[in-house]
Amino acid sequence: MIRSGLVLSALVLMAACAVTPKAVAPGPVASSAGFEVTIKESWSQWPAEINPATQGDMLTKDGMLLNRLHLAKVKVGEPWIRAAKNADVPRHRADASEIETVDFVVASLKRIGYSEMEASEIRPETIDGQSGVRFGLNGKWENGLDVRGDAAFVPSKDELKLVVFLAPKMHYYETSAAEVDGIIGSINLP
Amino acid sequence: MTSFSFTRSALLGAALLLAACSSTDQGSRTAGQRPTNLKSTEASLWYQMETFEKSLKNTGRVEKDAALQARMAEIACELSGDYCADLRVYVVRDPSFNASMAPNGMLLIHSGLLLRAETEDEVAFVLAHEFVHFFENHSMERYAAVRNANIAGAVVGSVLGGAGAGSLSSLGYAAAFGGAFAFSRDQELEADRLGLDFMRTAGFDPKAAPAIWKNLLTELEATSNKKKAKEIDRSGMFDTHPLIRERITLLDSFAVGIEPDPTARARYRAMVRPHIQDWMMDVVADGDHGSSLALTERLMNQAEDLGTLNYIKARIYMMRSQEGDRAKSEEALIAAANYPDVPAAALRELGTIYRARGEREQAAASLRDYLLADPGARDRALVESQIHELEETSP
Amino acid sequence: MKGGIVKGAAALLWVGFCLNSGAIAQITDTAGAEPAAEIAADAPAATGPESVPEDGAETVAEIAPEAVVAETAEVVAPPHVDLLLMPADAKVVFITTGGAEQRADWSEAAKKNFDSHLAANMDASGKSHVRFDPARHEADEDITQLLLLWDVVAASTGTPMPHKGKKFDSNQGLTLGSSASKLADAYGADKAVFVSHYSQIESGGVFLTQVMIGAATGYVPPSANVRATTTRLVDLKSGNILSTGSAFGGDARSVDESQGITTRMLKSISFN
Repeated sequence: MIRSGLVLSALVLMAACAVTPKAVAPGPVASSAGFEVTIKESWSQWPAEINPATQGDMLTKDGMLLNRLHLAKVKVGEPWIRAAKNADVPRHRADASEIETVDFVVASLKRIGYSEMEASEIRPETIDGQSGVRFGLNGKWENGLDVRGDAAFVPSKDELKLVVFLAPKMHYYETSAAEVDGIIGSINLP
Repeated sequence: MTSFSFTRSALLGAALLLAACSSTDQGSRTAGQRPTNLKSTEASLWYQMETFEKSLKNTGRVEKDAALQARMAEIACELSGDYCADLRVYVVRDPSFNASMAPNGMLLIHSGLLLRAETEDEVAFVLAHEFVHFFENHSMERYAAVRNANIAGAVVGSVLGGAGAGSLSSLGYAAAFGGAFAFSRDQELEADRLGLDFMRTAGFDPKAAPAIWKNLLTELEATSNKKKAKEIDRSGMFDTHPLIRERITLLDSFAVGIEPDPTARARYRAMVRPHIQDWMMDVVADGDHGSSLALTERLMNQAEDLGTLNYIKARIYMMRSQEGDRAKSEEALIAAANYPDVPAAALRELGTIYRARGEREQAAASLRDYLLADPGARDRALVESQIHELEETSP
Repeated sequence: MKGGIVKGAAALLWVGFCLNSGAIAQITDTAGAEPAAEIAADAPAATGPESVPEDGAETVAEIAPEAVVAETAEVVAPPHVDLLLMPADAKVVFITTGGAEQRADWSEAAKKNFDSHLAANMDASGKSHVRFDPARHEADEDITQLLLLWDVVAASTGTPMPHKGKKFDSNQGLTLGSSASKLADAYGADKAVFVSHYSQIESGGVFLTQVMIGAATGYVPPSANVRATTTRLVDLKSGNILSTGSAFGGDARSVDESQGITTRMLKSISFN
């Protein structure tokens, strides 16, 4: 029993390893979230299977803790973060107001290692012709490093399309902020 | 991963059973005691905890309320007497009902504990309980017990390492390390019993000990999470914690109350008041609406902070979103508006409810009132656009 | 809380094993911390077969005089030096059949050895240097943030970054950004040197367990002994990592062996 369990574990782990990060060149990038974005520079893409903390893909230029761009879809009743089926974690609601959805994103980030996380400059934004919301993020990574970010979401049918960018406030945020602004503006919904 | 967890649990469980057979009693510690042998496990644990403690100060998880931190440190000192200088107390932002004490004297108090307590006496009981774990070297005893019997970490780690899992071997060790700090049932009961003595000696009301558990039980019983509901009375083979009901019975039998202080609740509430909304929203965000409602209603029983608490109640109903919850939410928001501590956001939520019902004029008025009450609102641009839309004007 | 830490470690390791667990798992640690200094002060010198003779390290330190930054009330530019030596970050973990623990004595000995050898090597190369003083910056939010950023940057260097190339070291050229100049301003140095060391040392009991598993299953698990040391040279104007040198193997607890590690590691780094 023990040995078969260990073999199964090893197989699952090896299967996960078959999925590896890949380079993505400037241009349109498809994601498992079901929408496209257009990037101006090269990034590396972490497929959802090896994204440890959240559902959906991640793009990064220098490392997940230095710049991370989440591209996710969150179904109604599901969490954005990875969690057990019955876990008490923030979950997306179909009838959530805009501010409740902002709170959902912030509360989710607090569950995956960020603290003092707050949304700022919450504003309406038309995303690929649909009514969405943009906002800024400020907080700390779990070692105390100040982080800053940008987020955007648009409710689409029975799921939420979500883009979240996070980077250390020192150097890394400013380096990518303009490009990320363009990426959010390039969201191409199905 | 699932099967690995299962295997790990089974092996760790077996090791803990074996551990129970060997004596690891390390006696009580003396004031000012520090590890003298750098090669010892105690020195290693101390070293790691000091590293953690230094990094903790940067993390943003320590509450910045200096008065609150100072009062908690004071209570810890009153309870621990000669050991006061050995303790360092940190109130950390974490919604769970918990406190913990590391072998190096670092005492962490979760905001979720302070939110649920109603008096300093209740907090004092939990801190006294944690102090007993420290005083009686329970962590070291537990760690030694696991070390004596546990080859689980090494075996699991080695075999997985061989299967190609590489550094996953560290996971086995990490789990074993965490498991070492799950105190035994006997240690928990000893901590409760001696904790009562410490709080009595320090002048706190021992009747607070069963009270805080009773309140927690009420909250747990109200859970909307079916899995948690099943676990309340679970008594598994490896269950190390006494059941809450058993604990309450024991504490009730030991605790002889002192003359109750009629101002105790109000004084305590005044201390935690600046944090109630944030701490409650941490709890609410996790989505156990039943427990969150029970906790909110209990806090409301004190007839204070009704603007804030009615607002929280409204947010829970909005999140739960069952039939009739919108009306209950509206009712709570209207009630909140009758109290001076009503958060400005209550006006926004009212506006949102009216907007959803198509009551455009009323919605726009509420949203305007919200922006008047909170001119620096972080969602001003969003709310202004909603007002324009409701009034059918262009931004 | 502890459960959370363990779960967090598990989550990190889950990804780490596919990518670079050592690097990713380090993110919760804090550079610049001086753990258990008080324990070391109170404790008698370690003895016995596992202890590390410290006399050698102290001797090396004595022959490596360093520039001292004068503490004055006025803001005076510090004298120019070539290098700022950051305190070595060393973790020596002892793996036994009962679990793993970071040994206080071994970790402190390794730190002391690397700090001393690095200074001596720079002296021998004719490079002037000054040592970073953590106590001076405890209330300095900018420097604190810079060091926290360094933790994350250093941890990220081992992460595969396919868009930068397929080589395992494709992500070594990261940066702290221009904020690194705060260290130059404080110490008058052009560049900073960061040393990090991690080792896992197995007990005899673990070896025996592996033999037993081998006998029972026909498969002998590999040793979990790991010993890796890395030095990074950072330009304090741009914040860029200019050069990285690594050495594997060796016993950092030993004065002699840690000298060998330091020499091997510095071979691939140009300080000019």
